Amino acid sequence: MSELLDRTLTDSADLVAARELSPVALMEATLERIAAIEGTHAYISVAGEQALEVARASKTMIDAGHRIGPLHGLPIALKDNIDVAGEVTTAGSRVLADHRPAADATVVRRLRAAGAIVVGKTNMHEFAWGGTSANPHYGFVTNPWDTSRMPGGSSGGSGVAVATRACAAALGTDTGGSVRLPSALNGVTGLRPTIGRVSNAGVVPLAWSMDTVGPMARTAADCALLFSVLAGPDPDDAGSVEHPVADYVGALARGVDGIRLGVIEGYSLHHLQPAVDKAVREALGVFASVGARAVDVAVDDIEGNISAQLTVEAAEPSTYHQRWLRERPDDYGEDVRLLLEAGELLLATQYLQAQRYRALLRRQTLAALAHAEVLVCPTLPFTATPLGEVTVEIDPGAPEDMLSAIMQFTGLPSLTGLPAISVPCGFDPDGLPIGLQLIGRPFEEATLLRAAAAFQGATAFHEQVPPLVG
Amino acid sequence: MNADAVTAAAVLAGLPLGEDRAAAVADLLGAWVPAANALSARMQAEEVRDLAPATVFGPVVP
Repeated sequence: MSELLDRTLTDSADLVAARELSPVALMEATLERIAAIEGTHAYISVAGEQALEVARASKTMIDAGHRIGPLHGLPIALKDNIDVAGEVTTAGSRVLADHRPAADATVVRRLRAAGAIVVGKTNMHEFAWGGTSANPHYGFVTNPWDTSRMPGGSSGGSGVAVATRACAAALGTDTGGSVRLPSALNGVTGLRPTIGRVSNAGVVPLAWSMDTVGPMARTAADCALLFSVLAGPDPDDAGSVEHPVADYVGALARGVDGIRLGVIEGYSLHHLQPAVDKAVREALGVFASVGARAVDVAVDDIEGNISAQLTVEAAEPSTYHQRWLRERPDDYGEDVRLLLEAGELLLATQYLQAQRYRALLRRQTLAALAHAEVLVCPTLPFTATPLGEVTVEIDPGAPEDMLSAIMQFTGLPSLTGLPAISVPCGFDPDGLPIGLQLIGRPFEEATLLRAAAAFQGATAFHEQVPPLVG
Repeated sequence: MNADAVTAAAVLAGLPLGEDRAAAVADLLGAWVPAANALSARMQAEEVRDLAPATVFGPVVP
């Protein structure tokens, strides 16, 4: 079983196409693995027999010489805020425990059109409003590198499912970091696309002005393959943007020779746990060895980013949840209920000044990106914390609020609408994964993916297997 | 920020909020609001007067 599951999405796709890997065997192994990691609470629901039936049909088709698309016969997991027609989509909440959407989300339609098989729906922080995936309704998701620790969030179940090989790849959603945070803490690769690049139609929102769906997989090449299927305009999503779709897979081989990596002064290497600091500095050395070079850049008003993110990310969900918060307050977990109540009481002027700040931050960040193709920093300033913790120590003896600390680096792309990718770049002394974040110019996901691929070509962090399944 | 202020704001918002919840919300907003007001002050500066709220980002030619 392990041999089947240890292959990357890209390798499995090639082998299925060549009829050297049966979609049925792959699905059976995946379902066995899902059962084996049940204690992590990574999945809320598993398609089981239905997924196996589709895998049998996929095998029949490929044996007859018909390949639906680049993801033919591959088991893909979906965060449980992404609609699947006729299947319960809870968004990790009791509020939507009986919610069965009538139609697939656009991203699900695209996956199916590429031949993918939905294997199940993954657990998450309730309504995506939090970064730990400590879900009071469907179980706290646990980190496969140390099950006493949290996996990040809000797409924590997707991160765990990818890391444990309990799917070939997964979709997450990212508002303030929810693809990149669990990617970093679980040792996998996750892409937040440019805002508007991937459709949000059929996805339960958190904060409309920052939400996007993103791929999570073992490698940058796998993310590129998945992203090639997801990217593109959608008439069903008013926030979707018309922009040419690049050849993301083809771009991977171009390397990073001559690429400039912008290190933001007073930010990129500031306020980090020592192991994170060391890993990021060593990553810059790896990039130098493959032809990229670091340059210093400035983003003068970076300091306001956490407050702006808290304000926007509080006010918008509180608007979406206004009716349910009055009619069914007890159906929310305590942490999310509190955040929603607080978000209702922020002033319109505070919200709009935060939105104006986003325009300022974007102007300054684009100016920095005129001097570097990619900006670099950690994905988080710390590694996975114990389950249930609401504070974290970055500097010894100085506990900080988890929600603010977790946003330290992921907020910049979220606020500015820019694409960003998290790639594994090391481990702390306890064996917990560390993530490196690369931030790119608008619609330049191809540059991020090839930079990440070049880094993974020179390192083996992304090949490590969590002890839970190793 | 205290529970009484939160209760008054909740009335303005039409949000039912008991005393215990008002106290918890007050603690949270006590951490958020000073930073939000500092950001608002920054955005009152003359050199950023031209900036409109970025509720939607349009396509940008790099």
